[in-house]
Formats: sequence, structure tokens, C-alpha cells
Amino acid sequence: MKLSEIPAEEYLLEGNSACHGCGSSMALRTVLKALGKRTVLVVPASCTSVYQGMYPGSAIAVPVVNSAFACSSAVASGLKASLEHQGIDANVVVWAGDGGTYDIGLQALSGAAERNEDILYICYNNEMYSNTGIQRSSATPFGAWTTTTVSGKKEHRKDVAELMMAHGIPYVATASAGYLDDLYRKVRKAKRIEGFRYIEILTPCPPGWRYSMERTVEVAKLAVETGMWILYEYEHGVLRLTGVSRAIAAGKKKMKDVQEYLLLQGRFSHLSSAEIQEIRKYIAERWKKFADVRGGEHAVAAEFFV
Amino acid sequence: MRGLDEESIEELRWEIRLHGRGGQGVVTASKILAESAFAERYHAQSIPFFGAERRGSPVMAFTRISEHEIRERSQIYTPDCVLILDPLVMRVLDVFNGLKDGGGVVISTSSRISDEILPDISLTLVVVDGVGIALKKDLLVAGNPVVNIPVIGAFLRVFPHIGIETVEKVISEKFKRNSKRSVKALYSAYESAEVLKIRGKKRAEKVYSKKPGKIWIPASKPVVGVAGKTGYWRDFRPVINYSRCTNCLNCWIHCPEGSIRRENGEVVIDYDYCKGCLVCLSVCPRRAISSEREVFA
Ligand SMILES: Cc1ncc(C[n+]2csc(CCOP(=O)(O)OP(=O)(O)O)c2C)c(N)n1
Ligand code: SF4
Ligand code: SF4
Ligand code: SF4
Repeated sequence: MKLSEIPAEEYLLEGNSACHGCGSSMALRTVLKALGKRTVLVVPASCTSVYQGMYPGSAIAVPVVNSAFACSSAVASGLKASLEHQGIDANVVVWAGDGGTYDIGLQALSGAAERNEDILYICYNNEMYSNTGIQRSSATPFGAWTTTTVSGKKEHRKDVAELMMAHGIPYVATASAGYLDDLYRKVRKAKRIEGFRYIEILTPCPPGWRYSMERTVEVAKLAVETGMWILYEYEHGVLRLTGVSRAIAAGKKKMKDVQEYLLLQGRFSHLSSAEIQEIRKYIAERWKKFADVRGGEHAVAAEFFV
Repeated sequence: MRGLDEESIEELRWEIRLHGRGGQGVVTASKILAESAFAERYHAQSIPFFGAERRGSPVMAFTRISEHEIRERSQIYTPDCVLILDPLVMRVLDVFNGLKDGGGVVISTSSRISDEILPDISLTLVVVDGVGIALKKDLLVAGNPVVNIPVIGAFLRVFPHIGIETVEKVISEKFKRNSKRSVKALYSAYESAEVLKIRGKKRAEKVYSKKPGKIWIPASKPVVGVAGKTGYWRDFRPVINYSRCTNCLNCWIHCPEGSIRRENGEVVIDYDYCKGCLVCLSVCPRRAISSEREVFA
């Protein structure tokens, strides 16, 4: 799609307090363009709840309900029910960090997904708790430094997007701040689908990942090009890789070595070659699961999740 | 201030807002007040407020004291009294915001308070040299003078509903063996605080009165620049060379700030808010953007 087709209207206003080069605000800006005016956001405690600004001002030009950490999906479910009852047609969208999604908000998220509530849940995944100064979450990848994994995280991350597919909801997609046109298209599509929808966006964070602020897009692209992050869409039981991930699976593009991605980021600078090898192994295994999907399309078999 | 000078007491209910900076004991002071009021058989509540957690950044706390059950759980927007532990906070925050006509202001400072900085309403002003007292009574935490106790002492001068002995008891229980110096500072501040009545030129507009049990939910309005002119954050300034630019819009879509506009078929950078992250420079396929050292006058 042409970038000129993306609306010029801004819903994330200038002069907010996000850090220089913040991947989260970059993605939110595009997401709001795709959602448009008739949208209510539910934002639990996170960087976004801080950079949206302090009362009486807001940097977000659609209504925002700031929910407690654990209950954003429950709040959104209630909001949607209330709007429906009043005959108001609006997108109810959760915008939550990975801490608020993978850890603290997980039970409410799973509950709302299982009830197939008519809401869109978007997780911006910066792979840690950034707002409180970089602590590990269960989305933090193996080996990454955070203030609570000072010698590198010992466990691999969990994957909530896969968990959402296991809930059998109508739409699941992954995206990256490196491919905003792809993100825009996925949000537009999700907006039109009824029922529970889940989109997860990889959003690099310069201070947390320890890279120079102008490289956010480069880092977000490399995550996909090296197979660390896989772009896909899951619709009505069918999984389809998209963008660069699809090209790699189809053999049209060569996957880059993950070292290129790791070397850019201070949070991986302490890794030994054995640890880097472990990450390569992880990518290969995970990738096999997805890319068995020759050409990038297949029905998700039951053993997919085994 | 209602109840302070014992005039026009309609319902016995006070809202006190405390201002200071992280580490000065703002929250503790709010708790001590609430616990003391509770010991005096009032209903009481203490709520801390932190912004984005940074040391030394402005901190607020709220204390409600009432004869009746308190059902609100909100911040205090129209205080009867504000306690200011650090006068420097006045430079970055409107500490008097919403203060009721006839209300009270307690400030810890060693300098004279000029009328210009006070709101133009009638008020009772209490000034105490909190730092001086803390230094004299050796009330230091990590080398910093603790002014919260002196401010409470000064407040008690104009708030007869809590006895100073009650506060002494609360402090003694709270700080146990270390409470002696605090108690001395409390009395010293109580005695040395200067109380002034100030007649404002214009009466404050009638503040919206809150009935107990009615809850007002604050809603923010969208504004550009909630965090101020973020252009001042910039160390490097992105500059577009229009002779190379093909208007591909890559910089526009990737700017995290939305500081690049599409105007008459051209991309234009808004330097008032551009933070200078240089993402635009790194995504421009035409190398049409360069960076220059920012020099602010
Ligand atoms: C119940 C609760 N626990 C802890 C906090 C403190 N807190 C605020 S934001 C935050 C981190 C959120 O992390 P994440 O969801 O990953 O979003 P990010 O900060 O990375 O944008 C924490 C721990 C809180 N506000 N509420
Ligand atoms: S800490 Fe990271 S996620 Fe949070 S505002 Fe800064 S760049 Fe964005
Ligand atoms: S430097 Fe950053 S904030 Fe400024 S215009 Fe470029 S991308 Fe936007
Ligand atoms: S990215 Fe470069 S070429 Fe494209 S619009 Fe911006 S300045 Fe012009």
C-alpha cells in the first residue's frame, strides 16, 4: 500500500513525554490512524499511561480510560457492553505493554478472549517493564539484560500470541514497529472483524534495549529479518505468514544471522558465543514450527501447539 | 479557612494538600496528620501521589479529615489548606490551585513571602523556618534536613482540632526510639511559626461545593504539548534538503512524535516539538535529511 493512503490526521499529539525514538509511541501513532476517531482506548499502567500526559491534558485525541494493571480486558469488556447498550458504535481497544499483557493482565485477557468479547486487544511488546526502569517480564527474551536479570535472562520468553491462537479467537496478528504499513493494514482488518481480536507489536525501546535512539526502525526490522520476530496473521483457523517472514519462508529472502540483531543492542552485549548459539537454536526450532508452512499458508494442525 | 478561625462551620470537613519533593517526607506528614485526626476521633484519609517516579521530583499527598465517613477516593482539587514543604516546588507547580477563599497556607521557608506569589484571596499564612529547625534539632535523613515535622507543628498553630500532644503520641509510636528529636522539632515549630492574616483584593470565585458521597471524575482534554515544548529536548536538529526529497513519506510515518507534517505536497518538520531522535534521518531512502548540532540561545 502507498503511505499517502494513510490518513494525515494525528491522534497521538506532539509534545508528549515519550523518550526520543520510542517504538511504542511510533506504533501507537499508526494504530490510532488506522482506528480513527470513533475509538475508546483502555490503557493500563505502562509507559503509555505516563507519556499520554498528566491531568488536565492528554496527548491522545480519543477518549482513554486508564485502568488498573490487572483488569484492562475486563474494563474494555464492560465498556463495550455499555456502549452497545446505549446504541453507540465504537471501537473499544486495549493498548497495553507486555508486562500488562504477559504477566499482570493475563487472567483478564484470557477470560475476555474465551468469552469472545467484541474488543481489540493490542499488546505493544518492548520485552520488559520499561516505565518502572527496565525489569524482566515473561516476554523478555533469553539472554537479555534487565535490572532484574543482570547477567542475562536464563529462560526463553513465553508467547502470548500463540496462546491467543489456542483460544480460538477470530483474529490474531503480530506486527513490528519496523513495518508500519503492515501494522496499519492489520489494524484496519482487525477493526472490521467481530469478536475478540489480538495484535502484538514488537516495539523497540532505546533506553531499555540500549541502542542509539535513531535506530528504532532498523532494530525492529532486523528482529524480523533474523527470525527473532515472526510476522503472521491467524484468521478463522488459518495461519499465514506476512511480509518479510513470508518471503523468508518462501525462500525468496535469506534469513540474516541473529548476531547482527544482537550486536546492535547493549542488553545483549555480555552474551557468550554459547549463549548466542542457544538463541540460534531457539530461532531454528520456533521457525520450523511456523515455516513448515511452506509458502506461508496452512491450516493450523492440532500438533502445532505441542 | 473553615474551622481554622472557627467561623462559619457548616460541616466539619477539611481537605489538606501537601506539596514537596521526593525524599522530604511529604507522604509521611500526610499519614501523621491522618493518624492524629483519627486519634482525635475523626474520620481520616491519607493518599500519596507520585508522578513518573523520579527522585527529587514534585510529590503530593492528600489528607482528608471529617466528622462523617469519607467516601471519596480522589485527589484533592479544592483544598482548605496547602502545606508546602519546599518553596521551590512553587516554581514548577501551581501549588495554590483550587485553594478555597479563606483557606490556609503553611510554607517552610527562611525568607519573606512576598504577596505576589500568593493567590489573590483571603487566607491565613503560616511561615516556619523548617530547614533551620531541622538543622538545629539535628533532624536529618541521609544528610538532608527533614522539614515535614516542623511543617506539621506550624500547621497545628492554626488547626485547633488536633492537639499537639496527640501528634506527639503518634510520632513517638511511629519513630519509636528516634522520635525525641522529632518531638522537639514539632514543639519548636509550633512556637516559632509566624501566623499572618491576608485579605485578598478579589474574592475567589465560588468553588464548586462537594457533598460527601458525590464523586467527580476528572477527565483530561487532548492538547498539543502536554509535556511542554519538547523541541527543547533536542541535541541534534534534523534538516530536510528539499532538492533531494521525493516526498516518499517514510520520515512522516516513522516520526514517533508526529512532528513531521504533510503540507502542500511537502514534508515539514515542526521544530517546536521535534525531539531530535533522528529516526527520520535514518529511514530516509534518499539521504535527504541531515543533522545539525542544536544551539539554543
Ligand atoms: C498493580 C500495580 N503494580 C505495579 C505498578 C507499577 N507499574 C506501573 S507501570 C509498570 C510497568 C509496566 O510494564 P509494561 O506493561 O511492560 O509497559 P511498559 O512500561 O513497558 O510500557 C509498573 C510495574 C502499578 N501501577 N500497578
Ligand atoms: S522507556 Fe521505552 S517504551 Fe517507555 S517511553 Fe521510553 S522508549 Fe518508550
Ligand atoms: S528527529 Fe525524530 S522527532 Fe524530529 S522529526 Fe525526525 S523523527 Fe520526528
Ligand atoms: S524520507 Fe526523505 S525523501 Fe522521503 S519524504 Fe522524508 S525527507 Fe523526503
